[in-house]
Amino acid sequence: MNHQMLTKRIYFTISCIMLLVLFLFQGSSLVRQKYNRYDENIYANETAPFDAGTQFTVQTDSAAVLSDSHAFIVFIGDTDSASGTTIRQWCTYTKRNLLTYRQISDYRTYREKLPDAVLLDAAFVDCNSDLSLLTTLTSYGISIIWCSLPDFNTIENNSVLMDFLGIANAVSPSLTVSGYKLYSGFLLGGESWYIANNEDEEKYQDFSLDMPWYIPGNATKTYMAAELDSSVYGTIKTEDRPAVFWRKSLENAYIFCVNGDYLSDTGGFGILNAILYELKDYAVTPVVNAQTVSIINYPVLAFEQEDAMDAGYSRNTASVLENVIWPDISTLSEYLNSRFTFLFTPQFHYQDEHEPVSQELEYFFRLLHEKQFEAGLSSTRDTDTSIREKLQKDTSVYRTFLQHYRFLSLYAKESEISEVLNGSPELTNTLQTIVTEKSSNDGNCLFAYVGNDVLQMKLLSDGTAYSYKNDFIQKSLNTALAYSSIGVDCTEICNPKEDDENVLWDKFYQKTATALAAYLPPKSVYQSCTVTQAASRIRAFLAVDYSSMRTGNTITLQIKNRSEDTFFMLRLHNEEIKDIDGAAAEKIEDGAYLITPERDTVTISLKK
Amino acid sequence: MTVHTILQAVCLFIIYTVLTVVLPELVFHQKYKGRRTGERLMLDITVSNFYIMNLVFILQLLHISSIYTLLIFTVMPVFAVIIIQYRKAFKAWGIRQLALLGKISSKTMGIKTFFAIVFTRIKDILCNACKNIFRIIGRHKTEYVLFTLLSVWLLYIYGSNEIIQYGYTVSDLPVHNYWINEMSKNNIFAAGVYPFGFHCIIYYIHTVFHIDTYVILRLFSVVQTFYLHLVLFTFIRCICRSSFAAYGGLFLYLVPSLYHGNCTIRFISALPQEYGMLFILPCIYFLFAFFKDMKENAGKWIICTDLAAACACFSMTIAVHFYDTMIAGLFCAAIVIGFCMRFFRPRYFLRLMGAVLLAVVIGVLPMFTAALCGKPMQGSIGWGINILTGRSSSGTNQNQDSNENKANTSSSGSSQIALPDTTKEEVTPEPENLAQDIDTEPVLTPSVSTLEKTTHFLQHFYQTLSNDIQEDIFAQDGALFAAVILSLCALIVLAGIGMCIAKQPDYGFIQISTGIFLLFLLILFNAKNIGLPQLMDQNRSRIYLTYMLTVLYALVLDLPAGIVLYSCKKPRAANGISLILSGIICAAACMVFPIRSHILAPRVSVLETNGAITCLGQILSERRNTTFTVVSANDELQMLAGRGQHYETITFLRYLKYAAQGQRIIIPTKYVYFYIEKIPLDYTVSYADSGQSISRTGAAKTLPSSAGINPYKGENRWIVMSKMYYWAEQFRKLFPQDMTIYYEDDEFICYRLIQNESSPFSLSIDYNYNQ
Repeated sequence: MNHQMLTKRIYFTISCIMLLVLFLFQGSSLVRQKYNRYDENIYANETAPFDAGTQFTVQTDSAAVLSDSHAFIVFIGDTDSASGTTIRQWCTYTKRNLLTYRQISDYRTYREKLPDAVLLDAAFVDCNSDLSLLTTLTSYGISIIWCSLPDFNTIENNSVLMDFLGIANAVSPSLTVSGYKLYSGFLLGGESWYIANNEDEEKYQDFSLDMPWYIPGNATKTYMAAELDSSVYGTIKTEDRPAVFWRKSLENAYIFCVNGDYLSDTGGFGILNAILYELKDYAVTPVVNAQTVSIINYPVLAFEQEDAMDAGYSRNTASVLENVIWPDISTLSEYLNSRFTFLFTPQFHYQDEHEPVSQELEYFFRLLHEKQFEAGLSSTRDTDTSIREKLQKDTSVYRTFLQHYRFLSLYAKESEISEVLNGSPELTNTLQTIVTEKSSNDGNCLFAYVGNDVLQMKLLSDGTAYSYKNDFIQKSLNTALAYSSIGVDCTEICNPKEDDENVLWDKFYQKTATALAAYLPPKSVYQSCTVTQAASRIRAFLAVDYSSMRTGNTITLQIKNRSEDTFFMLRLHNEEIKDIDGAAAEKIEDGAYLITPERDTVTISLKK
Repeated sequence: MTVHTILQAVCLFIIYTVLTVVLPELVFHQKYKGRRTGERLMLDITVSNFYIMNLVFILQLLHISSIYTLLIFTVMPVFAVIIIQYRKAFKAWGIRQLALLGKISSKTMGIKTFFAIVFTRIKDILCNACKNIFRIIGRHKTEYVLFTLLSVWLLYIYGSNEIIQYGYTVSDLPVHNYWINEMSKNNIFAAGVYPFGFHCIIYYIHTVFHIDTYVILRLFSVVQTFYLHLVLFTFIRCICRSSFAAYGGLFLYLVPSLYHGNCTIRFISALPQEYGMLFILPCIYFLFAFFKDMKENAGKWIICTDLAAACACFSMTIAVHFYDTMIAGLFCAAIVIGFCMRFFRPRYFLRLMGAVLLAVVIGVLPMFTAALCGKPMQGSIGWGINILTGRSSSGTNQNQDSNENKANTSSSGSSQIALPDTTKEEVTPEPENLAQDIDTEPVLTPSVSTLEKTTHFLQHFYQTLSNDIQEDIFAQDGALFAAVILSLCALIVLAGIGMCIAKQPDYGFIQISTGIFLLFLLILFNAKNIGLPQLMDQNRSRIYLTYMLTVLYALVLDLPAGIVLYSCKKPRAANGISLILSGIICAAACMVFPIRSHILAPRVSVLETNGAITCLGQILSERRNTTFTVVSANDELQMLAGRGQHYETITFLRYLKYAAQGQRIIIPTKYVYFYIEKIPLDYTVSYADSGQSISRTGAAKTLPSSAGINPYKGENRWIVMSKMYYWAEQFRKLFPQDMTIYYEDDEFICYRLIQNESSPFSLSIDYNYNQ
């Protein structure tokens, strides 16, 4: 047989090709690793130049309100009540002044300057004696918003009140509904049905399903109604369903009714915004335009629960963190087109022998940098360790391996804030934002300055469990502020207990992905931000002041304290933006635009 | 909108021309060899209309009519015939192209040379076509100039209405619109068996070309009327000896204001009767041609074609409108008399009887089939049958009117839609009245001789004819006009007899037939006065009479040319005489009579404002099907069929009466449009304050309680629109963001309500005029 030998030329060519292939596979990784400056926080310079002193202050004194150029509302009720705190906060966010009275007869200045609306807490209204004054207010063109309704018997027995409220028929003092339908055009995000159609969906239903049944009459517009079980109530016409939010139109004013305690939580911001939008032919309000997802306590750098990890996943901790959890989180962030912020602790237990592993730290910081995620601190620790001790220990770990990384955000409990601020100066000197859980007694405050320059941001939704109420609140916050702050607490995943098999990543991830996909639609106009970016926008939002005016088909917006993180939302009724000068406009949905001002004066031309 | 309307009309004209002239010409180009241009045109129109009508009939009766089946059965036969006819040419062309490609592949020819050859051939073809066109035009320069001028004038007088008043101007149209809409659901004869030929054509254009039916019905009148006059011209041009008599005749019909305006006002609307007129004269012409070709033994194919075309035309008159059949039948009867020398010969008689039988069978078959399938007779068919059997002699058609109500209103009703101006109030001659009429004349005693009886009858005939002509046709001097017409008829009959004696029988027979036909038409027109059953309302018969008088004028103008041709056989001289005589007569007519102006439908007969039509066009172009509702008086009901929902204003207002009691009105579409006339139309009934604006006074009046479309007529409409306007304004005040003004002009306003379909508004509010 004639064996042809490999020539030198062919040998050389094959070698070159193999080298080339090797370079193509490995080269990019090498380049990425070489130039990955993971020890720098790329968001460190994104802070807006605003602090507690620059934020808008709500005027509450009657003389000051009447002389001030800002719009105002009148609230009849207690500002310390749940709905009262919502209204107060909402005034801060919408740059409105607020006049509060305990009874409607105390409000006498309506002839001097018309408020945007008069908000009523039904508990502070005498439905017999106050009705004539309320009618007088409406004749002046002042719209009335019933933040809650009088009790059923009062309404049923008072036909004048029923007519005033736009109720055609008071059917039942209490009934159990099967869910709610939020119609499109009120809150942003389109129509939503909060109705559990099967057993699987029942776990999402966390609305209160008991409510009185009122049927709105003629000249009304319903924005949200309850759905009844047809097997119990038979077929009910659309217009006969129990109404939740509705509006009665009078010749000069409107009467809005809220049938339920929807203004007592953060969902009230969007409802109030939508109501004010319905009152006028357009509405322009400053918004935050930030959607944040904070991953709490993932990753962990010390392998403290190897046995539990092994029992749950048959893998060691490093493998679970790197090969099980990270790919899912990475994929989810890409699907959501979202920039996550990882607020984690190097270790949970500071008293044991397990110390943070430097390789893990480098590995995860490289990944975070590649994905443009942000890393922050967490105050989570074992009970035997104080915040100060924990922070000092963390400082020593980070300074050993990450000398240049500036931690700008930290996750802590609200009760720990002062302790955190007095913790390790080396770490907390650079701190700009403290992310905290939402507490029940915080007065519906979404964010606030703690100290002059540190901003407290609250996690408003739990990203590990979807629920209808949360979805509604999310819509409401998007309508009011284009803002969301979702927390995904991975403590139980990264610090598992050996006997708890229910807390496994696959189930956790399934619930998290469901919730995040529902709360953060992938093609949303609102911008996804890290905590630091969002904090910067919040500072700009709190500082900005504005006035707007419409002349014919032109809206003029005058802005004070504008920065590049300032955004506005414009809502129009069946109109579109024809042209805009001094800003960029992006359509959120029909009749809603996100305005990014580029100058202090923005002129918007409209077309029908 | 004006430009848009003109473009739409042009588009319709092109579509109809392609369908009825270009396609048949492509298919039968070779079969038409040897025929005159006019004949070819009439054949094209006949063949295409006959095919489309019967295709639609068959597909509809089989319930398989759709754009696909219509296209398949239109395009496939055309291609098949073209391929069969031109297969040799195609083959030769293919071989030439293959040879060229072969040269390219063997590199004996370059690509550049190939394209140069292709371009040169295309250029040659275009140049030759242009040369031929210019040559033909150059040869008949005067005729083309005259033809163009008359066409422009025709479009001016009959087309102006379409670009000034966009809406329907005849109350029949909503009915026809309804019937055509039903055809889209394969429900032909929706209201019973009725001649649907016209509807088939409109349905075909609507389905195949995706043009809204209401747009076709609005604008098709221009196309229809143009072709109607083109056929008249072509017919005259084909039967006359000279070239210019046709222009003279048509000029007298179109330019001087000879007749009462109502004799031609129906031409501004697309109506079946007028469309059916398109087939009367071709039918007659092909019968003339049959007699001529049989006499000359022109060849079996030509004779068959003549007879088949006549047969098709006659069947189409049955398929489109029975009045047209009556007129065609009268002309045929006149031909029987005029051509009696030949007609009763077996070779003519049998063929003609066979053709008539076939025509009747073809014309009646679709209706008969539908009747067999259980479709009831439409009201006017029963009326027609009663007329023919002598059980009724009424000239009006009550049943059709009741159908108009059905099409016009969604609610039941029994009111009547009057034809404003185009129809006059008809008094049914009861037998007693007729007897009285006769009794008013001197009583005839048995001693009176037959001659005296005849004289008396003729005097009575002449007198009543003069009166009716003065009243209905010729406003200035009825007696003179009656005398002139009768004289011309006599003249043309005598001339025909003369021609027969002078051995010009074909021409002579045509003249005699035409003269007798005109006499028949006069008798038909005057039937009720002479004790005959009134087969046709005078309002309708005068349209045919004036149209056919054009033929009479043309034949009279052609007479000297015929004599000259007979005596010296010099066509140029004959044409010259014809031109001069026509010119003199036309000039004299223009001096004596005023020049006609463009025809505008009177305000009383306008059924929709321009704003409403403009608005409708905008809405249809903006909105997806079924996402919107129009709340309007009634006409939009059919215009919107299949596209959007319709809610009647009167129903809406009647519900509003009960707003205080909690009555709700829900219209569950995203968009709701409210049509309101600020200056309400009369809608066929004028009243003392016609043309007044809506007002609080009107809104304060009691809502009309009458049924059907009566609430939309006359003063009722003013009340309805006034109430609707104040409701809309009140609702807009309550919901300013949701209810906006969508369109507004001086006469019309349209409000648009945008609502959430899941939570629609209750439109029932107290607007102070609910009662």
